[in-house]
Amino acid sequence: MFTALAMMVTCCCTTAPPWYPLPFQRTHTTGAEPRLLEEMISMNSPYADRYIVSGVLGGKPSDSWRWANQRAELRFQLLEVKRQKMFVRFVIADETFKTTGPVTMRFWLEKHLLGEMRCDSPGEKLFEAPVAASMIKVGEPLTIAAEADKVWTSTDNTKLGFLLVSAGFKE
Amino acid sequence: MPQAYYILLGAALALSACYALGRLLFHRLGLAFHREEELPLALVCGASLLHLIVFTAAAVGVAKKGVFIAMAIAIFAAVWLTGSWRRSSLRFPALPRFWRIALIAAYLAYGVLYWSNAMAPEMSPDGSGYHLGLVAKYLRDRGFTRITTNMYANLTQGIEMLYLFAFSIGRHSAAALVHCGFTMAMPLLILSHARRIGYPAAGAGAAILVLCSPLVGIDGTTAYNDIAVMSVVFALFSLLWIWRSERNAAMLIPIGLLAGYAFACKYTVALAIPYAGAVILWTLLRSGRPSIRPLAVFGSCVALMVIPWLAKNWIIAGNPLSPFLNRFFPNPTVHISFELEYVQMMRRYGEIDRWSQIPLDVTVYGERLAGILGPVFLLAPLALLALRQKEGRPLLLAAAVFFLPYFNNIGARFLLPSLPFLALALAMTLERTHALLPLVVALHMVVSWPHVLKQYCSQYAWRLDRIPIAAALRITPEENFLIDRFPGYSIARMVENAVPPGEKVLTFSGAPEAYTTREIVVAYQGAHNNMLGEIIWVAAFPDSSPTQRIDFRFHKRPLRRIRLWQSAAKGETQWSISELRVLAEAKELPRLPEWRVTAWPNHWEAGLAVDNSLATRWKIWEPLRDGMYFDLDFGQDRHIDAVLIEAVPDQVGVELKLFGQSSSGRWELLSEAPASSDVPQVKGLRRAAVEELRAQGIRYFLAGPDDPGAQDMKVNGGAWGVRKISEYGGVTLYLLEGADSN
Repeated sequence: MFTALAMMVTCCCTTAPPWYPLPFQRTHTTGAEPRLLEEMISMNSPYADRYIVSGVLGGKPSDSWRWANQRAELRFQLLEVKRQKMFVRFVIADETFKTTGPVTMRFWLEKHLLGEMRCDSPGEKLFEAPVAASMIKVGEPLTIAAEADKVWTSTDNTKLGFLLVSAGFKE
Repeated sequence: MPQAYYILLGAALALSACYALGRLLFHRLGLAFHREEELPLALVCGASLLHLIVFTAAAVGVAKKGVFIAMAIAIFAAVWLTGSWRRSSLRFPALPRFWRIALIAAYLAYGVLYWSNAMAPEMSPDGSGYHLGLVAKYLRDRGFTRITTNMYANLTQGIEMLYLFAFSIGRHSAAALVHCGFTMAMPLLILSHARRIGYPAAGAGAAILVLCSPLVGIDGTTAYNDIAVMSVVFALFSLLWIWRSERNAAMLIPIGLLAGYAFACKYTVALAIPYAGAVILWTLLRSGRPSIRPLAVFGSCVALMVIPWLAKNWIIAGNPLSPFLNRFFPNPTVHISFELEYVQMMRRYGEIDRWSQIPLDVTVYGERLAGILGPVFLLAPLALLALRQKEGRPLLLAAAVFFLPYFNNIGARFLLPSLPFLALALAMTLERTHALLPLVVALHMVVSWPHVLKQYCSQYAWRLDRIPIAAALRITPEENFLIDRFPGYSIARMVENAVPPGEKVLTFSGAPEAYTTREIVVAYQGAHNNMLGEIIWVAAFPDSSPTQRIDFRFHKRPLRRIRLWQSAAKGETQWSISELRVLAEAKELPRLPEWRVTAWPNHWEAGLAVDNSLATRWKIWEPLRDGMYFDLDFGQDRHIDAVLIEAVPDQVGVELKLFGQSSSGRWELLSEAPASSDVPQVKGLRRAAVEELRAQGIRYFLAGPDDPGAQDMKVNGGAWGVRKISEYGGVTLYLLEGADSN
C-alpha cells in the first residue's frame, strides 16, 4: 500500500522521464559458442588450427597426423590444476628416418625443458612427463613445444622433423 | 625551419600575447605597478584575457594557427599604438646583494633544467593524455566539438586555451614551454608581493623555495597546469592586497578576471571567487563604503570568465559543472556512481592508509602521492608563527583557503595552490632568526637538484631526472627520444598506424591521446564508455554474465503498461536489467514498434533492457534508493501473465515489485514475490559482445596485459570474433571482426 502510494506520489510530483521507442533488436546468435582451447588436441580435430602456434604444416581434418617442422608449438588452456602430465604423441616417418638416422626429441612447457626422448627407430612414439603445479597458470594460454634435433629437407626446401598426432595434458 | 624554432616561436608568441594583453588592460584601466611586478602580473592577467579570446575562437570554429598568429599581431599592434609597452617608473628598493645573487643562481641553474625539460618532447601522463589530447583535437576540429566520451573535456580548460594557441605553432613542447613560462614567473610574483609588504629577503627566499621545489619543477615543465593555476591564485592575492592598500576601484576588474579565471583553469581553485568576494566585502564593510557597485564590477568580471565554461558544459554535457554534481544535474554523459567512485579514489589515492603518511610522502619520498615538495617543507608548521605579523595573517588565511580542496584530492599537486603562501609565511618566520633563512634556502637548492634528489626519494617519485639539452634542441630527433623513453608513445603510434582515420578505439587503460588522431574511448571516462566497458566485462567474466532469472507470474489480464518498482530503502547495489521479456501462456510477446520504455534513474539507457542483447544492460548507475523504476508501455492493452527479467546475479538487496496499469489508468500490484533462479551462462556472449560493440561504432579494442578481458581475448580470440593486428610491450590491438571473422 505504502509502495503504491509512494509510486503515485512519485509519478505526480516529479518531472516524468521521457519515453523511448524500443531500440533496434539485436539478433546475436547465443548458444553457439565457438569451441575454446581445451586440455588436449588431436590433429584430426577440425579445431586443430586454433591450438597451433607455429611449426605445424596445414592438413585436412581427416588426416590423423600433420607434418611438423623442426620445432612445433601448440597452446592449451587448463581450467584447474590436477596431477597433470604433458604428452606428445608423434611419429618418426620411415622416409625421413632413412636420411636422419636416430632423432632426439626435446619437449618444453613454456620455458621449462620437461625432457627428451631418443628415437632409434621410426614409428609412433609417446612422450609423457609430469608437470609441476607451479608451471601451470590456470586460465592462461600454455605453450608446449616439441623439437627434433635433425630434420629432413624436401626439394622445395621445407624442413620436416616429425609427424604430430596429438598433444596436450592428461591426468 | 627547424622544429626547435617552431616550438620556441609558439611558446614565445603565446606568452608574449598574454603579457601584451595584460599591459593593455593595465594601461586601459590606468593601473600603475612597480616595474618589478609588472611582468608577472601582466602575464597572468593577460592570460585570462587571451584564454577568453581563444575560447571564443574555438567556440565559433576558427581555432587555427593563422588565426592565432593574426591575433598576436593585432595584440602587439594595439600595445604599440596605445603606448602600453612603456614600463613603469616606479621601482622597489634594490634587493640585498646576497639575495640578488641567490636568485640569479637559482634562476640560472634551475632555468636551464626546466627549460630543457619543458622543450624536450612531452611525455607526462596527463599532459600527453587529456591536456594536450584535447588541445590537439580542438585544433584538428578547428574548435570545440561535442565530446561526450571524455569527462576531462568537461573540466574547465583555461590554461589549455593558452596551450591551444602555442600548440598550433609549436605542437606539444610549445605548450609545455608556456607552462614553464608561468613556472618562471611564479617566483617573481612572490618576490614582488614580498617587496611590496616590506619583506624582500623573505620574498627572495620564498621565491627560491617555490622555484626549486621538485614538484614545481616536474609539473611546471610539462603540459599540466598546476603551476599556472598557482600563479593565477597568487596574482589574485597580490592584487587584492594592492587594492586594499590603494582602493583603486579599477583594480577590481583584474581581480574579478583573475578570480573567474581561477575557476576557468581548475575547479579545485574555484574557491578563489568566494575568497576574493569575501575579502572585498569585508574590506568595504570595515571602511564603511558602499559595497554594491564594487561587488557588481567584481561579479561581472568573474561572470565573464566563468559563464562561457558553464555554458559549454551545459550545452554539451547537460551539466554546467560536469563531471561533478551529477546528482543535481542528471545527464547522460557522466554516471553518478562513477563520480562517487572517482571522488572517493581521489580522496584516498588507493595507497594511503593513514593521514600521518602524507607529510613525509609529499616532502621526501614522493612514492604514493606523485610528487615531492622538498624536505625543507617539513618546516611548514613554523609558518604559523607568521600569524604574529599583520602581513603574515592574510598569507596564512589564503594558504588555509586554498588548502581546503586538498581533502578531495590528496595528490601532492593539489597542495600547490597553497604552496606560495605557505612558502612566504615560512620565509618570513625563518628570516627572524639570523642566517636560518639563507641556510634553509641553500639546502633546498641543493637537495632539490635531480642528482641529489634521487639519493633519498622513492625511485617511483614523479620528478625531473635529467637535463635533456639534445632532445630539447631536437638534435636527438623527437621520435627517437620518445620511442626510447616513453612506451605510451609507441602504443599511440601503433594505434595511429593500424587504425584507419575516423575509427574509435575502446580501451580500459588509455593511451597518450596527444600522439594519435584516432579517438581513444577510455572505459571509465564517460557514461557511454562505462556501458561499452561493461559489455566486455559481461562477456569475459562468468560472474558478470546474466545468469539470474527473475520470474513474475500473475493471472492473465489486459495491461497497457507495466512497472518494475524497486522498494529496498538504500544500498550500494547496482540494480540492472539485462533483458526484460513479457510473456503470455509461456510464450514471449513479440516486441512491437509501438512499445515504449522509460526508467528512473538513467532513462537515457532504458533501451538496453529491451534490445534483445544479453551483452548489454540497463543499470541505475547510482546508489540504490526506494522508488526507482523501469516502465514498459505497450501502446494498447495486451493480455499477459508473466514478466521475465534476465539479470546479472550481483543484485543483493534489490527488492522488486511488479505493477500493472490497464487502459483505465488504474495501477495494481501484479506480483511482489518473484521466483528467482540461476541458469547456466549462455554461450556466445563473447561474440554477442563484439557484435554489440561494433553496433556502437567500436571496431578496435586496445588491451593492456591486465585489462578486463585481455587474457580471455588472447586465449579465445576466435570465440570473441577478434583478430590481433598489432602488439607493443604487452599491449595488444584487436580488430573486432564479429560476424566478418567467420
